[in-house]
Amino acid sequence: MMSPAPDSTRLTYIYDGTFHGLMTIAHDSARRGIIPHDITASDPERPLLFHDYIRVATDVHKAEAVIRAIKTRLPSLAYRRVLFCFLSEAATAPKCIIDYLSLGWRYGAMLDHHVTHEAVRPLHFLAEKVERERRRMLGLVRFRLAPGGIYYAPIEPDNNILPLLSPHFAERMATESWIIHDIGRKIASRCSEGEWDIVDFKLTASIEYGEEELAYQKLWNGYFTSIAIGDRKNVKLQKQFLPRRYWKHLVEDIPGQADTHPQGKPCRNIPTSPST
Amino acid sequence: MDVFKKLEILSSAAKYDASCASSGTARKNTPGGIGTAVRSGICHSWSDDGRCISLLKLLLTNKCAYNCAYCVNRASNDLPRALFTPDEIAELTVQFYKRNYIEGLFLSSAVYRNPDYTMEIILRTVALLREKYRFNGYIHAKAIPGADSALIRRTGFFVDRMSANIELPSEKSLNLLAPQKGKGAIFTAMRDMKSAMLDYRDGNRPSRSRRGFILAGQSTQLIVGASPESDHSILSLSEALYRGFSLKRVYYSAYVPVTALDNRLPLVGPPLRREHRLYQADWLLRLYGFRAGELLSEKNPNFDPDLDPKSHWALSNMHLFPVEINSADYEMLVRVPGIGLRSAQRIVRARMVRALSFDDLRKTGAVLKRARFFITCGGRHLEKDESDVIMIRERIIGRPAPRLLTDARKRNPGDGQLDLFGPISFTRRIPTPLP
Repeated sequence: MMSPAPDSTRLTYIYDGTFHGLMTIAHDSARRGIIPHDITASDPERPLLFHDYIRVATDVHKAEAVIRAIKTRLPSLAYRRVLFCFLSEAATAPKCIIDYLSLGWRYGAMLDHHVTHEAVRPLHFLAEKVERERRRMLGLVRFRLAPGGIYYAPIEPDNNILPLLSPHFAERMATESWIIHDIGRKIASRCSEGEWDIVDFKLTASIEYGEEELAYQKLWNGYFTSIAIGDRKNVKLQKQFLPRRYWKHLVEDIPGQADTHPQGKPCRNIPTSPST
Repeated sequence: MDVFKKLEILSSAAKYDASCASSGTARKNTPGGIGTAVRSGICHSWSDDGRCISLLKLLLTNKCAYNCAYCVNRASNDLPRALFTPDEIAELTVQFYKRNYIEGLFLSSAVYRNPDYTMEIILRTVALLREKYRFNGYIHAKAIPGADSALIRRTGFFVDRMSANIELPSEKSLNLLAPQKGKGAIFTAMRDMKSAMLDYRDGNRPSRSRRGFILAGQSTQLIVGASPESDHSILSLSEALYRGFSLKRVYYSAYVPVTALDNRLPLVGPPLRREHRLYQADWLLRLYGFRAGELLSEKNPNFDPDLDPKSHWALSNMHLFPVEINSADYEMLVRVPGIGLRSAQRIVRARMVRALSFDDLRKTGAVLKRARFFITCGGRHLEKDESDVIMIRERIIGRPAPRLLTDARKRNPGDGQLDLFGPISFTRRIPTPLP
């Protein structure tokens, strides 16, 4: 197993919360042979006694050097997994990434074979969770044609997947202008002529959709209803594939939506019918 | 008739086609075009029957010249009829696509006037989408049995997948329930597609076409429960189709009574459990290296509705178990109940760097509830007795035996779905427990 440096369990890194910041920590911890107790983006409310806190200033050069090392010395999927894990924004993600990389510098290209290792599995788990939501969201983003010819899609994903969704739609909708708005994080990806960037974003007024847009929403709803086979109705299965928290920003009216959250808010913990 | 009404009629008419895959091809957008194709496919929604919606599934028309007994669109059925124009379909597809409702189009049709005429409109529609609308999303089109092979070939260069549905799993049932369709015409269409695919692979392709010929392959559909074929004959047919016609997928559709009373057809609810077991077995054929003859036989022609096909197979082949997780080859690992493709891959990777314990095995995603009876880890067992097949069966199902037997006795033996004595009788065939 790991043999941490003598004092490493008493050390916590503080960084600016950026990916480059975390990669700078990876650089520092590798150089000093430290496996930190924790990594946080904010000053601790109640600092621990006999515990060291190191504030690491983000250094783009060091960070890029770490990223290069990940891409060349670790397994081919390692960088993607590290990035996905970071985008999960889970409280444990930074620590998972540093543990994974520390082990990685020793195991190199065989790192991902250690699927049951405690420094590998949590990172794989978080990365898979983000990948699952990314895949799901590729299908569930719903664009609405807003006045001015811009396609607008509101989303509220669990993970920060906007940077992962954008390349897909930038290629697919290369001739259109679109905005995908992550309401919870108050950011949006905007794209025109195939080029996209992510900016802070807030809607100042609600959008009035034109008749054509409303007509297509009605057509889609009609299709959504008529394509279901009545004799095979299976709402439980539907909910399993399409969890309730994703319903809010869909265009289709799923029956039962109205009575469960009258204010139109997503409900995360609705008691389901007793399982059979 | 407005588009809304047409869409309602022609999408409800298309819903009995089970195929919804948008996978199998990867395509980049073209300059000035719209759309891409993603190799793994993308689901966009789920309707309240729990089935995924990936493609805009439409009939060109439900005005049908044929009168197949099982089909909702049969000529003698009294229902509203409609016909889309190619432009209407193309416009709907692109507008839905731009809003990210769908991954592409699945265009099917009733036989309108005659097969050639219908096929020609399908060809015109997909050509319009690709050429005028520069649509690069996924398209699945129906090959109409009986249509000229040149038309089918030309259509294939515009689309990602084509399918001709066999529907009834035997010639006898086809002749009885769909006399106008005929087995010959269906298999001719499938053969046309296969030979065109082979031609394309050999480089024998029209010079002006830069597109591939149905790169996502062809598929078909079998209706389950409308006719008396056993699971064994259905699965054997599927196996023959995968081998003989290189099909990518066979879909199974539990028969839903859709037409007015016809004494040639059953009047029960759709056999969903049976359909589910057939899909599981289909996966075993395509991805797990099983042959149909291993799973079922003339003597044991139907799946146990309570038990998944892999567990069913394992319980009849206890002499092959237990297998040692740390040394069994991949082909054997995937045959263990509770170990799927992903966990088998993880096991093979993980054991390259260290021997696995039962605890590690759990972390690979293997389901020990089922796997525990069939494996050892480092020579250790999880169960004392791995020879009591009846006990194992009960524990896999998760129900005590007495209730199971009473349930079975209560069920109507005439529905052809329950092999009442199957699971008990094979205890006799099992060799004495391994030392």
